[in-house]
Amino acid sequence: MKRSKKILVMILVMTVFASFLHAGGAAEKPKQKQTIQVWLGWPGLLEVFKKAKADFEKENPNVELEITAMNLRDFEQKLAVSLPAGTGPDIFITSEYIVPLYISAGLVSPPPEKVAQFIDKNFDALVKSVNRFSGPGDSKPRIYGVPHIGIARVQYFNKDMMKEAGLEPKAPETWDQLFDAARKIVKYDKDGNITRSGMSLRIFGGGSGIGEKFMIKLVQAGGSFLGRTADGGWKAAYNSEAGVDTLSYYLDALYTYKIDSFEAKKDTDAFVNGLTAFYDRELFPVPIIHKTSPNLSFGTAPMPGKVHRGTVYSTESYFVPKSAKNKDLAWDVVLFFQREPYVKAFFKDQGWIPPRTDIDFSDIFKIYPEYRAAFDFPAGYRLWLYPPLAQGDEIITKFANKIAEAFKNSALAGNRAAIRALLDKLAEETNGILKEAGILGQGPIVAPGDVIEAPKDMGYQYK
Amino acid sequence: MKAARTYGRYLLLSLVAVVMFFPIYWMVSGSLMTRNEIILIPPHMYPHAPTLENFFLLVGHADFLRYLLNSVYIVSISTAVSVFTSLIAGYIFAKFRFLGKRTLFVLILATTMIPFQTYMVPFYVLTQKMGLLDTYLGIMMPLFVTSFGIFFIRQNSYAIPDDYIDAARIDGAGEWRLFLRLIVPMLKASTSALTIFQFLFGWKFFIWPLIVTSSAKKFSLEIGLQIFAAQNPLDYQLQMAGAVFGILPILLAFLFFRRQFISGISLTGIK
Amino acid sequence: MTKSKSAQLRFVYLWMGIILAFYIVLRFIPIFNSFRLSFFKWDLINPVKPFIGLDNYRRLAGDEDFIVAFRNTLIFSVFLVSLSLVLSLAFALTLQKKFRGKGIFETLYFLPYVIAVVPAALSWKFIYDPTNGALNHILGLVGVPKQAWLINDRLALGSIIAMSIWQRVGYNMVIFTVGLGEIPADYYEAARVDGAGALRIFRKITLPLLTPVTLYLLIMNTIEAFNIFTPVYVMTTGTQSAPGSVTKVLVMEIYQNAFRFFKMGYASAQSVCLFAIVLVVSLLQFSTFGRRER
Repeated sequence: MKRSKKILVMILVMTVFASFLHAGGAAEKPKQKQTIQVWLGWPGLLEVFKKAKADFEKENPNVELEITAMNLRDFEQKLAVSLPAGTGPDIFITSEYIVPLYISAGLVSPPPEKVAQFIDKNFDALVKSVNRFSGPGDSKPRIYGVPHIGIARVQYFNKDMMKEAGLEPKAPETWDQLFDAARKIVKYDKDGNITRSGMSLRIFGGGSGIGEKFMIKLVQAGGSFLGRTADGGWKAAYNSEAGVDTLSYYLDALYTYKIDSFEAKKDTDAFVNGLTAFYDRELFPVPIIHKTSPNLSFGTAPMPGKVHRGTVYSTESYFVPKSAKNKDLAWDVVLFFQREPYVKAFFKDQGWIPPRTDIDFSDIFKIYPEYRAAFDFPAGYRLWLYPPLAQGDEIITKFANKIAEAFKNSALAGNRAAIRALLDKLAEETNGILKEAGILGQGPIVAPGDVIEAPKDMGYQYK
Repeated sequence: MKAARTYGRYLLLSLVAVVMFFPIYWMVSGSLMTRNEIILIPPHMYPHAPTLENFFLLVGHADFLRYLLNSVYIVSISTAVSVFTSLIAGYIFAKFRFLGKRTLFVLILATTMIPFQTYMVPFYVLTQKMGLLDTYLGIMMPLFVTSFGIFFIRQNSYAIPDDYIDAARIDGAGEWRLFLRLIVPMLKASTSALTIFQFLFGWKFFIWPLIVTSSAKKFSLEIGLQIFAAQNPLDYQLQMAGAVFGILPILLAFLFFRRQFISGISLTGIK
Repeated sequence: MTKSKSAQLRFVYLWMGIILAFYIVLRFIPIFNSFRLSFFKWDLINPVKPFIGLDNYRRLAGDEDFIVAFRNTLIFSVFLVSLSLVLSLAFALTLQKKFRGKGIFETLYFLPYVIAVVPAALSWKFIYDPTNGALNHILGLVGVPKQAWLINDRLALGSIIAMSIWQRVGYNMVIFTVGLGEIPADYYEAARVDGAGALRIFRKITLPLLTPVTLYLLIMNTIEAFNIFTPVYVMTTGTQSAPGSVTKVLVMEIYQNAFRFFKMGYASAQSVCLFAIVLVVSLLQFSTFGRRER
């Protein structure tokens, strides 16, 4: 049993060693400085924040910025725990569909006049129209946060594959053009397995991803996910002809035309490796594709459409909670992050679009011309927005899980009545969640709840 | 005839061994490939041009060394505490009479039937109220007691003759001294078995740290690796390098103390 | 003597007090609260947390996600427990006799048990990858068409079961080996003198005498199987992985309701169900197999 002693000694030594390092880390921090805590849910952005932090601390030696980047789910979870308890950060960055919950509970503080003017002057029309909320005591909706990102999903297409199939290497503008191209590009092995898919559909993986991609097609089919009723309530709106068209889009691709399959590789993973010709995503894969596959000849473009061309649009903004100790300082930090070099760095390396109208991004477009696609909205472009409901995530996740089941059902392909029946059944579940939350509307839907037309003039001051 | 059967057995055993070892082999093989090699179709079954660059790249991507230290720290302390509480409670349950002993023991034993997952939600709320979210103490807390450990030590303590204990008392040893100097050394085999068992359990404990930690500074190796993999979904070679790094500490310990691991674990099954 | 008695009592009450305090905070209160929360509509953000009686439980009965998770967990447990026990007993029997290289095989079979779950799941996920995974490649050599292991309805759960068996089998094997070692050799001798064949010896001697060990493993494995989470979580994250519902298990459902949708009350009701199921199954196993032992 000499060895058992050895184990114990070894564990002891490791413990002492580890605690030593931890204690060392804790002891270094002098406490006199003022600390501003910043939380975000995108660890990828941390690099730029680190640079900004160093610069800010140089300019303000008595302030320390503590920037914590978490995994998105952890971030949302931690926010939910700490904001009501008043133990949250001084600044947090989140989306327009997460924050209403906190604003209506009176946990977020509105920006001071100086900041409000800055927002009014320097941001595009879209981000400003999407980000209006009513807190307790507000007579009309107002802007609470300083926008950080405003992002429209784009389509990616492989130019070489289009040329190879005898097509002009130009992004499709209609569903018909897209399907036509995909059918010419898809390749099979001798057993009929897809070796190169015509397009990469999001048909499995995490729920919200499936949901978001579905919404892109739903908007294009002329539908909306949720609708508003005359009494101001919400109701499932996807059990419509547009919903049937959307699900048919997937089923036709999988079973009628066999241009994608469950076995084929998906998404960016497939695209960078030359295994698919078309897919939909944000801009962040652009630098990744350039880095990992420098020889891939590809382009990005605004999405195609059936009834309208359209896509999903979402935003992220900086907010300062009511519980922040020094709000003025916190807003100063937010404005500091809005300085041109950082804004450009966020954009250039990460592909997250800063919705600033006063900064000229031409130099970045020269490096990554693919970024343009998220700015150049064609006329009549429709945008699907995340509904500003606390139950939004639950509704979309559950919907996505069920719709993912439907993707596997080859018998549904071409059977519009059966698809409609299925969507009606799913809508019951969605309406059940809305009812439980007390916001289910009565009577017919009078307006789409989550689709808008993109503003004609975004207000950019450069060309 | 006999030789044929021997060969047959070896063949079968080796076949199973290959299956059992393959996932580890695949991980190591992938970690030594470049990105361009790992995405090939059909896949290479071994690295044609092995490289260690992925392991260097890991350093730039995430603070794996920190995660490793966190894991060692969290698991060592929680293991030490749980082994200690098991020793003292198991010994007392075996060798003393006191009011409410039976009830308490039944209550404690009953909790082995109640998996942590069924009360993690209120545990989270409790941790929040105690202000221990995202702290080392909060991460370790659920591991501080183990009903299995108490039961295990109690069973093994019965083997210590009462005369021994009484003799030591007559010699004037205090109860605490008696426990440390006489009982613990006599329970050495069960203690090291329990230590190994708890260490492995703590190392694999995933769902609680996943919920309670939010800052990267406090990630355990398991959490850090999962988040790293989720953030680099395209880089299989980096994921595999991270995985190799993730299994290395325990794997080395296991290969070094193979006997102790297996005999220790085998002890935990006897009731 | 009385002095020693009171010293003993002081020792006992001091330490049992500390242990009890640990148990109250770390086990009894959370377990009790799990029951209590299940009667409330309880979330983290909303300050109003009304008592709703049995509503959460009533909703469970009609919640399709819960039913799917329940069904999957049941399938997972039945296959994992039965297959891993049969396989590990076979391994233990084969490795019972001494022969050259036995240690190596024992080590290799035990190895997966000490591997941390996340790295293992990552490696398996890569093996299962439909395009450049090893499994499709190897099976392709013998003419089996490509499969989407983690995505296909009929294969996904089985793929995760396979991985879990791989991880569990070493532990079970070691415990079985101990059990086999404790069967007195003269039992076998006597049976052999009576002219019993290998199969008969196994059925009449090995299996009955192994019952306590089997029962222990049965219950331990079942509890663990019902609480499966990590492999499912790792393998269902990301764009190339299983869709949520195909491999959804009970703990995943609880996790999602509690920590993603923040419905802590509802998640607690699900937890109470999980607890009840584990309890009933364990008691059932105990009464079926435990009685035969006597």
